[in-house]
Amino acid sequence: MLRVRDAALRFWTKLPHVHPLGPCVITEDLLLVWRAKLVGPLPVTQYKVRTLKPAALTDDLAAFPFPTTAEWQLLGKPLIANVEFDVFCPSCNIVGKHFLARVTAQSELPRISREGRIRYEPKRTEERSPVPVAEFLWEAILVVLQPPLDLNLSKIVDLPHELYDFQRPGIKFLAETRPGALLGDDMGLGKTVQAIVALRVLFQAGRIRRALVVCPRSILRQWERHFAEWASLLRLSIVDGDPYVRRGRWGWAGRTDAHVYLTTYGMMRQDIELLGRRGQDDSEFRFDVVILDEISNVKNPSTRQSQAAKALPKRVGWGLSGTPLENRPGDVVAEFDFLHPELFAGATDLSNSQVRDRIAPYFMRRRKSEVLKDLPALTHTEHWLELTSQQQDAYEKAYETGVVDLREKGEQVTVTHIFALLTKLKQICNVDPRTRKSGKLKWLQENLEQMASDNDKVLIFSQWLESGVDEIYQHLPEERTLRYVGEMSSAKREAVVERFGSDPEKNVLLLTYGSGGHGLNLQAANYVVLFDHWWNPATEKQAVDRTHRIGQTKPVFVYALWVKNTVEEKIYQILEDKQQLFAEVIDSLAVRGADRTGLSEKELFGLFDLTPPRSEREKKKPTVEHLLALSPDQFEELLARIYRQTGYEVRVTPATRDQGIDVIAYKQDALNPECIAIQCKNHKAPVGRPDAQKLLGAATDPKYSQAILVATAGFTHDCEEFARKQGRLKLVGGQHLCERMQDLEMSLGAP
Amino acid sequence: MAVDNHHDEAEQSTKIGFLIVRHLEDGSYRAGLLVTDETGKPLELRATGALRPDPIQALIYGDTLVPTIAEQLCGQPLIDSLREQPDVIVADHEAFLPLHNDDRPVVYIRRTGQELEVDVDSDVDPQERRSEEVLRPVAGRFEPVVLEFARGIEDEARQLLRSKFARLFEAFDLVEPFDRVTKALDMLHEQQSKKGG
Repeated sequence: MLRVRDAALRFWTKLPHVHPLGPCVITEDLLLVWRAKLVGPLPVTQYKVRTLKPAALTDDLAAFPFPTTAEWQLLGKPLIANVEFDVFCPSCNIVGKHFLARVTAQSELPRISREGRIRYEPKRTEERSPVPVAEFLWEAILVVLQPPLDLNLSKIVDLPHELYDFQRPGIKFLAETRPGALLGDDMGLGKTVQAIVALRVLFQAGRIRRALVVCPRSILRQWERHFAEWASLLRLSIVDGDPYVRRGRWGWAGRTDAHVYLTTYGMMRQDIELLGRRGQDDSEFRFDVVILDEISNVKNPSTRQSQAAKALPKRVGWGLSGTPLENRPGDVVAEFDFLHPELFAGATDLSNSQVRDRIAPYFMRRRKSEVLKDLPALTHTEHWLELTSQQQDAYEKAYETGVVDLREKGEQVTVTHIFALLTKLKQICNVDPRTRKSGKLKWLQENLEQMASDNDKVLIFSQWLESGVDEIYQHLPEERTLRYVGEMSSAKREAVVERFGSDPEKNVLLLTYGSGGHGLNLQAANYVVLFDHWWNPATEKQAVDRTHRIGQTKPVFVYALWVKNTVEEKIYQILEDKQQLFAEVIDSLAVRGADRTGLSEKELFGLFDLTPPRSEREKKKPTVEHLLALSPDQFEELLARIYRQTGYEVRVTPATRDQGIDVIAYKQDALNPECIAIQCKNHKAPVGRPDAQKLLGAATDPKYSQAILVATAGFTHDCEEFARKQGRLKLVGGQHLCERMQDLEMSLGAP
Repeated sequence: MAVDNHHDEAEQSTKIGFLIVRHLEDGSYRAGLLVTDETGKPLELRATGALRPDPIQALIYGDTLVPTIAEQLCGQPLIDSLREQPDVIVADHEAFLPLHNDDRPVVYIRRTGQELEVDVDSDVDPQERRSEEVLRPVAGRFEPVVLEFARGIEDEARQLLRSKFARLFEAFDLVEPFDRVTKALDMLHEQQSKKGG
């Protein structure tokens, strides 16, 4: 038995195009009838070729009809040999070399599938085993050979499921709106499906030839599955992996284009130059449609990601977003810089209503409550719990100490101080850090059995890793519980979601709001426990929407856990008011009142019966002096907030076990989750080289993609020289930190 | 090339071949034959390579160049190569009409108004006269089409064909599949041009 050596696979094609005596008919026979000829270091007669199926193959030179799977077996001496497969046109007798497979002894010969792929063991990867052009062509052509789909979609055919009535106008809106369209339907209304069907309509009508979808990494596989389900005719190229692989998947190396390229924001950012070069090679190269899922990823025009998106060669742009509440007018303007660059060109100081009016023709949004009358009921129940006695002691001590400390700071107190105390108190509400006792955990243990029975499954969301997800995980039965957090690799996260959906034994999934709040489809669950609460009600709504969406067949029950007589009760009241605002402005862009944290400075100070200092306005501009006034814990928490705000999942390491790393920040939207080790030095003296070396030593684990040393008072010259030579080390001084905070609009006066 | 997603119902229903010839911008010709079921779903496509007549050939063949390409060099080989033999072929060019036979009729079909109607056949032998029918869809669903039959076709056969097309025309637009084949040929041409073919 002989085996193909994948490294030696070669492929080329010479399809005859002009017949000497007239046209050569590209018949099935031409494309699909093959000749095999064995050539090698020994004469052909040294080998015997026999076919297992079909029986047309004879000796060393034979042909077999292509649509049938052919299994070959070469019998002979255990030598290396080459097998050439020639394409043969019986009507004109033209033969073109098609590919060369190098085979070695003692293993299986390739099987030729009906698509012309060589199958061999071990499982090959697509990019290492090219397939004949004929297949690519056929797949490309098959789409335009389908009967056209009516944009009215009154008689759309071959869809795996019936479309909802409200989805048809959404599809039409996307397919017909030029030059860009923003679909802002509530989460769970099937924006992905609408976009895919709209693409399919356009492909089938021959109006587009090439499309690109860019999405967060966490939902890449979800897009892939939806394409397979709703538009299996479209040839999909998932652009992911190392640069060599991606280059092939963007369509180089002579491969015929895919219909749709699917990639992540991280890959798009990295490959934008590659795409630019392709544009130079082929002046006609462009995407007819570029879809940015979760378009808020490009709302900051100064980021490389936004600039890369804008540089994509495209004809039409579509944006998908389920969270318009988070979109402030400035964000929307930035998003339309991609979708419709002319719309706000030169415009400044536009009011909310002006922005809304301008985008109206290019913006569509439907609310779930309006269009999904048939979705199973959603029941939201609040459970007001009490602290255990151990928690109560810890809480009171932390509260009293904290408030006294705040009062002592007087005019120097900032929101960062408030925020640090608030975080500490909320974490105690989750669990007592000393005894691990928790009223919430007790409730969970008592009620979990009832929730996770009868094939029902439970999602449990927390704001934190250590005092949330990790803590809960330790208290629940391991055999039924899964974790889904940002620090996992994307493959592992996918496996978790897959297992949660398919394994009946695994009926509890723990998630952080950051990792599991966006994009995931988790309809397998119909119970949601909000173990603690994000600062913004929109985030909690996203978490609930993981289950309460299209495809959910059971009633969904949401249990929000709150602790009486704590800051949680005060936060609850504020969030209640904001929920009211949410309901009032959800279709408006006037969302000034609901910022990222959900709590204003006044509200935060009010939690501890304090009023913001009079010099509030000044404090909103952070200075190095302000930073130096922070305690080490507060400074670390500030860094954690900065990274959270820029999309990272953050872990603040315990002071005694930090090994020189104070904060670890994970980013999900990258090839391998980006992982940054951060050390915080809030000293009055510049930091020297030994500290930088120590940090690099602590961050030798390959999981860290970068180490960042933050020093309020800056760095010595020696330290800067050292960092310059180290690619992985980045230095951030106090002034830079203040500027970054201002960029993020998160001055010390506003968390 | 062929699609092998044969549907049982498709095998029971009428198979229609849509035959076109394209004169491309680079001067070459390509022809394609798409076989669909009664609802227009594709069953098989055959396409020719590009035929690029040189100036001398063009001079020698003159007005008969396109009919020769259409009928002899493209049409017949395409039909012969089909696995899914159609029950009837509709063509986008009258040059394909000589491929008609009673077992597998060929009809030239076009939108009304697509060609200027000039009565040049008045002195022609009735056997050689063009034989046309206008087909109007129910409820104006599609633009009306003109069916042109092979010269010399029997009246009875013509009426049978007319009724058959009238029935098919109720289900889908009989001219629309030409667009699909055109796009497919353009894509093939583009791809093969890129590959140096």
